[in-house]
Amino acid sequence: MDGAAKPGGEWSLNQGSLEKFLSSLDPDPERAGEKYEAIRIQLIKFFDWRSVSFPEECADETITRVIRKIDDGESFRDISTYCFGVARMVYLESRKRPENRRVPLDDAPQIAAPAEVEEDEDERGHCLSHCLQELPLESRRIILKYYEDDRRRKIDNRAELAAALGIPLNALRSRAQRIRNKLEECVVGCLKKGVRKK
Amino acid sequence: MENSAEQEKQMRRYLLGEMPEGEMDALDARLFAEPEVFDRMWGVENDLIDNYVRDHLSRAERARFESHYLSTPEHRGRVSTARQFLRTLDEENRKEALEAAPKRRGIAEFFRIPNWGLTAGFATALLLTALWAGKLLLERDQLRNELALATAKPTPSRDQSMEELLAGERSRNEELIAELERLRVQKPETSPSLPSGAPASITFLLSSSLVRNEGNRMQELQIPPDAGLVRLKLPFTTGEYKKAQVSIRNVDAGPVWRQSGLNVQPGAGTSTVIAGVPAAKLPPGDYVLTLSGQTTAGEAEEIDRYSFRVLRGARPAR
Repeated sequence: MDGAAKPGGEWSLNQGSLEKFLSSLDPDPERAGEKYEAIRIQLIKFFDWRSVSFPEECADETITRVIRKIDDGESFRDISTYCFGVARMVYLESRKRPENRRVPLDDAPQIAAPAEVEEDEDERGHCLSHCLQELPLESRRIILKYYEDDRRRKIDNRAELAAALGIPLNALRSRAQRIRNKLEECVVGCLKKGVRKK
Repeated sequence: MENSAEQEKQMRRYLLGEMPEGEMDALDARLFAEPEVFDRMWGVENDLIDNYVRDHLSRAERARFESHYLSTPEHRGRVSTARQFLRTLDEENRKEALEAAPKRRGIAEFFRIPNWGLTAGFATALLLTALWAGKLLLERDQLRNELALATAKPTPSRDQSMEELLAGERSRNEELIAELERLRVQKPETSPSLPSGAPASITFLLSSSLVRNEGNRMQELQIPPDAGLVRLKLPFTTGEYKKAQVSIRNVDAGPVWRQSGLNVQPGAGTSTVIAGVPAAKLPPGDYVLTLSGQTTAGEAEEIDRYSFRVLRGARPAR
């Protein structure tokens, strides 16, 4: 028994349904975890690029709906494509919410806009320094070299870095972006801790 | 959309909100179906942010970026982080370049004949500093003795004379500091950890354009050919700023270098900004440096201008 249905017929996410979803991604648990993470990042970025507020919550909502379908016995040839279809529905629903109506920055009404936490540049700088130190040495080296500013030689610099690491340029780009994403997540987490202390 | 340059151009339109909804839907489907398209889109986003922070966008793109991309708090936070990140990255890469420079020098450097003029100038500066420090130590001991006496038998006349003595010492110290700074202007600093005669960075103290040196000549900066970094110290007395921006313009060729977000070092009556400029950005010629401060409202306000002439080649004998 999956135990997914509550008394009264209401479905809720639980360990059993999550494991069913992961095994549908890949029979190997470790690879399944990696694919889950990759799909989640794709979904977060999709909502983010569509300027939806709280993209992580929308991504989790999408995954929850897909898990429910699998739990109900549905199977899919390509889970990624199905996830995209569900994400589009979640996106269209989110557009109806007031905080997701896109307006130019200067016209954004102060009350309707989601509350922004104010922090000064120094605090963000401290968080960034701390998060850079937390990165593994190679990741730090990659991100510092990859985003080095030299407009004329940027492509050559990145090609040299890829050659030094023994990976193709596409793989380097992907790696640098994920390291940068981790750095941003670390800074956001650090700033939230700083705000909670205040 | 097979050509990658064309594809990236479409992705920029997507991110700047310039793409019709139908085309966006088509690209969304590819983002999920093709991992390489997804990664490329992500790269285009990061490049767009970095170009915005570094002021490399066209005016139209910048306006579009600000009105569309910056309309969510997540994106505004990402740009703030990118601003700090790129500033840190530029600093780290500058430090790395300086550290790497001495290692590139070979064994020939060990046998290189030292620049006696530079050595003599550095020795003079050290000697003056040592003399001044010694003088301060002696006078400190003298003051301590007098303080001890004053504590034992306090009298109004003794307190008054001590205050006068202290005031006198302070003004003498200020004179010595000013003299030392003048010497430093004449004899550019080098890193003491490097072999003499072979600086990787060189420091100059610039005077405001309102103040010319003797004979009303423009300030001249003699930059050695192997200097990697030129540090310009910019003192100013007006206004209070936490951050500053420096832009340098070649009189003939136009803008050559700019940096913002520089820390302002406050001092008694005079604040200082230090800008590290790659030596390659300053070929021989005449320049105007504009120093601007960032007000509490976030606006840039011109503080002062500094004119100077860059000369290259071997240091002249003094």
